[in-house]
Amino acid sequence: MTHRPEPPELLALDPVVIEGASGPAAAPLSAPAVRCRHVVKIYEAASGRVFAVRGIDLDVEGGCTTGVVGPSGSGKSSLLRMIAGLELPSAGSVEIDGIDLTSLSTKRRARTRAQLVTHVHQRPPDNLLSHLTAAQQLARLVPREADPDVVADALQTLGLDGHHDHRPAELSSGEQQRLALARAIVAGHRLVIADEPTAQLDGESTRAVLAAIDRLAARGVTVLVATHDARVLPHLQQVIALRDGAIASITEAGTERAVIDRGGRLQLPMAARDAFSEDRAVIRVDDDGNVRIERP
Amino acid sequence: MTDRRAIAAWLAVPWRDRALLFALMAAAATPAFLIASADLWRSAAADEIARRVMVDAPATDDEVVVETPAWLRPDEVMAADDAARTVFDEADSLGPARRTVVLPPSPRDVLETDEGASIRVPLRLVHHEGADTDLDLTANVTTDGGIGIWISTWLAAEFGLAAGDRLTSRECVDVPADRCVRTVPADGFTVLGVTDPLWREPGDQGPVATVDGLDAALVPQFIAPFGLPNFAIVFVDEPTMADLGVQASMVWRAEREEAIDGLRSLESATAEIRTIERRFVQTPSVAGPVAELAAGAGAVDVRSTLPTSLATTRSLIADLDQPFAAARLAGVALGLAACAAGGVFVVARSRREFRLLAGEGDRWPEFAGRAVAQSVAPAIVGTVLGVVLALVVAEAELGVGRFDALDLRPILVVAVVAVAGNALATGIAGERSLGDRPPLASAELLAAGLLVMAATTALLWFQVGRGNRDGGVDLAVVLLPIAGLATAVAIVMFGIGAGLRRTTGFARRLGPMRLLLWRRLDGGGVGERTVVAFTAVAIGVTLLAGALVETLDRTLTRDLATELGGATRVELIGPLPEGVVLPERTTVIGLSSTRVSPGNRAATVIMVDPGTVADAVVWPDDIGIDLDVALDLLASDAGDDLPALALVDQTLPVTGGFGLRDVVRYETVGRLRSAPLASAGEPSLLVAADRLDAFVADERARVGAAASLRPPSREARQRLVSALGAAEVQAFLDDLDVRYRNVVTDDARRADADIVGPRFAFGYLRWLGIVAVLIATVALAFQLSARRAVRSLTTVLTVRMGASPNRLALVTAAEIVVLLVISSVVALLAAQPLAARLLPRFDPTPDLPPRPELVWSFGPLAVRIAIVLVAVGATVWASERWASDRQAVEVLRDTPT
Repeated sequence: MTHRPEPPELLALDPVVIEGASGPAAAPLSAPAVRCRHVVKIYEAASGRVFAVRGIDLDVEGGCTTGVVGPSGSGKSSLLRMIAGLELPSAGSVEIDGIDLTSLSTKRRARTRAQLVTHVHQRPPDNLLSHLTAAQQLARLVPREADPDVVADALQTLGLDGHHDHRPAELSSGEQQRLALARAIVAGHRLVIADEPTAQLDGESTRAVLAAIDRLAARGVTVLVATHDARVLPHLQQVIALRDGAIASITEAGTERAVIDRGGRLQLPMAARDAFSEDRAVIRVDDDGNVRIERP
Repeated sequence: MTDRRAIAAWLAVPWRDRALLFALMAAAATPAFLIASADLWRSAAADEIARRVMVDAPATDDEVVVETPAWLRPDEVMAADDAARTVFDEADSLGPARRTVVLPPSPRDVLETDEGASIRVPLRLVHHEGADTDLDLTANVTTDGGIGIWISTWLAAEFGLAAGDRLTSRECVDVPADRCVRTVPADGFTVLGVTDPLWREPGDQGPVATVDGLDAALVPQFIAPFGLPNFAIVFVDEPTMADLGVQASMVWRAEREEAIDGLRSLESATAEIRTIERRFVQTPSVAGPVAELAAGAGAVDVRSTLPTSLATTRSLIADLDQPFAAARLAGVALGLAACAAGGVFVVARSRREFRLLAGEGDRWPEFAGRAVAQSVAPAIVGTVLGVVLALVVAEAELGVGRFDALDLRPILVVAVVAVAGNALATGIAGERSLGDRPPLASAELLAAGLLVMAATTALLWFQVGRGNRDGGVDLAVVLLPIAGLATAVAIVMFGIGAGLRRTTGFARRLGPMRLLLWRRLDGGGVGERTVVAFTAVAIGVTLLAGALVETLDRTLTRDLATELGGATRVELIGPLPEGVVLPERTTVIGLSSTRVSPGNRAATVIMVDPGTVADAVVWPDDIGIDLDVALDLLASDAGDDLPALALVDQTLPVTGGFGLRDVVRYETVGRLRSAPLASAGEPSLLVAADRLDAFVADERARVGAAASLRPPSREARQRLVSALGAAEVQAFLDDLDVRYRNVVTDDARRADADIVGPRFAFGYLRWLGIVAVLIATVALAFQLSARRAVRSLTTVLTVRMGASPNRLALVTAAEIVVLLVISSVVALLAAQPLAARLLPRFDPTPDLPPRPELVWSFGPLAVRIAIVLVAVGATVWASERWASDRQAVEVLRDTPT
């Protein structure tokens, strides 16, 4: 077996546990904050159809910080955009707080999105309106019935209390991202979806953003983060690895679990795939029900 | 929960972003500019019509004349005169009024001199203010008493009178006996506006002559039953006239000091006349003294033909409505297109903000509302700027930069529609900014679009042809060149794209860098391609419209030269008297419808007088040969035949005979493409009238025909052609008491809406083309700016692959310029059949030779295209250089996901 160098974006977490098909798809006891069922996303392009997401089943518990990882083109952004209600799946359903986004009209979906979700883009300037100050950015999101001090509170919570009157151009990238996260606090959102929020940040800014995410999680906010950044992983309770539009593994509490989809297909983690150079494996199930994958 | 500061900051967004502000303002300014320009073009056309109408207007339009019957009593005269002068003084455009008092002609008066000589003579006493300074006095002015009368030279000669002689009138006109002859003017009639033909050569007069151009009350009848004149105007000074106590006619006459140079001044002058009329009739301070002066003898008459001229002008201008509306519609369409382009840029510029807000749940009403709020102020400023710019440009180009010429309603409506339309589009774009990417335009979709464009062009092509010569300028006429050019350019651009895609395999063999350039040319963006195609179409429209305007001008000049012969053409009903001396620059052309043998073909023989024709007729260059050469040919020796000039393209025998009673053998000694008064329906032969008469006289003598037969040139239908104006020609004919009809002038024909309309419409279309080129150049810069991130990525990658930034920028600029050159050439080629299709529709007299030929001004256009190419090339180069100056990391960070 030839050992190939590990690509930087891959996660190599051992040991890998292979679950049955009912694993992640099984309904948890409490209603999850995010539930995806058989989600498929197909883009129509000039060169033909592009299958971005190929039937994902996923549950994310409320208050959980979840990472979505995978190589470029694996479907991370498409999945997160569908969960955020920014796009509709080509097939399947996406629920947030028990609301099936696919069954809503455009208007109601937009309203639901406005009520439930904060979306944080990769580029800090994309999350803010350039002409408003930090306080104004947040104030416009505060519901009428909310406490007027919520803006100051949010800014203080995320370490931005000295920047009330600063416009985005006067803030660092890390501060901009934290301000973007603060929107969730003032808007009372229960779900934050961040698409590589630290990709353009230096170490110190990254740490500040991660601290902000921790604070959000402490407030019970469900955080869903797509990332390539290994520094983010320790802050996540659950990591979902995607490959070719499907879930390759789910890692919780240091245990990486491979996923068998409804068609019985198993995606091995990349590190495990490297062990099978001919893309062939022998699967043995012993008397105790343990499954072993061996090289042929 | 948004505070006021946030709202203010929101509204101030465009004012913080110069590009955004420019786009919003330009989007509003462009339609305002184009619509305002259309109004101003129409105003220029209206002014031109007014000027041409005024050229043919009677000379009396140059003054205002108020006439009232009057009993000549000093107090009443002075009171009415003071009141009347007040009215004239308050009229801005009129000079000081001058008063003329005329007594009715006496049937036969008796003038007696101190020596007791007397003669019975019909007298007309006239007092003319300013006569003592205006008249050319031939005798010394007596200082005796300062009161006296002025008599004509004829009267002085008839009575042997001189200054200082006493003169008494008895019986009909009671001139007091103490009046003396103050002076003897030579030009009394001239001062009144006419020349007394009896003044110098009494024997030349016919039995009765009427002098036109003079107020009816002043027109003298020259009665000379025995061949001698026996009538005289006697100028009388004011005290003499005022003391007579008889009924007279009092006239105030004020000259117009400001020439009428357009519709506005014509309207203003007409309104002034109506004001004067109202004051003389209704205002007590004026109407009272005047009525007292008239003492019930009659009503005041304010005489002016200006209201008629204004009505004529307005009627002609009303005929411009259709071409005006059609042309303006094209302006509105272009304006809205520019406006939409601005909207697209705004959307592209705000894409990041839209994605964020759409992500937060904003829907199209919120986006549209914000767009309205943000764009209203720039739209107002832009609209104002557009209107001001139109006024400035129109003043410089057309001399009609007047605000009151504008119809603001359509400008405001289009501005509102533009803002609302852009807001709606922005709303939809904003809401959809998060959605799935729209499917790219497929080749099938493009092909279908091209088919629709081609079908539309074909439809318009047949529609324009069907309404040949009757339809004037309608929407189809305006749309055909635009649709035709757009179709041709789009097909070629589509073909280039398809060709490049099919040859990508070949490009791969050129190496990575060239492949990148190739791909860039191929997929340079729909936006750039659209702008390039738009530019080419605009260039084509400019050329086409310019060619049509120039061709229409030239065709009109040529047609009028054929139809009228000169500035004025009059159809004489009877022949001119034998031996009459024509006015200068005037000739008589004879026309005879006859048969030409062999072939027995109907033809028209045009007989010109070689002695006078050269100074009278218009002889355009494209007739084929110079007038002097033509006259030399007509005077050349053709043996026993009469030399004649025939028209090319008309099949008459080179030698043959024409005439019914007198058969004239002719030989064609030259060919013309046209000739003055050439027939529209049948071939024409041009001959010299004197040679023809001599030829026929010889023939008649040879066969012994009756000597009393009139020469052919006098038997022919006679047309008087003159370089003079209609008024002078008519005055001449009236003096001779010659009957005539159909007085047609060059200026009147050029004022026809059928002629002004197309010229205006295509002139405006050319204007649109020029503006569209400017818009396209600016739009290209904005398009490149909007696609900055994508272009920067390509540029940086190419530079990192080894290309020098300078070279890359030059190559990219060259790519766009090459595309532009190709599409412009296509547009220029397509413009030719389109113009040829349109031209026959606007030939003012389509049957008159020669046939119109399109005049293409490639020279000035080449200069303009070169300027556009340099501007576009520089824009692209600058954009590329700027893009390549950025760092790769910066570019990648900016690249939209």
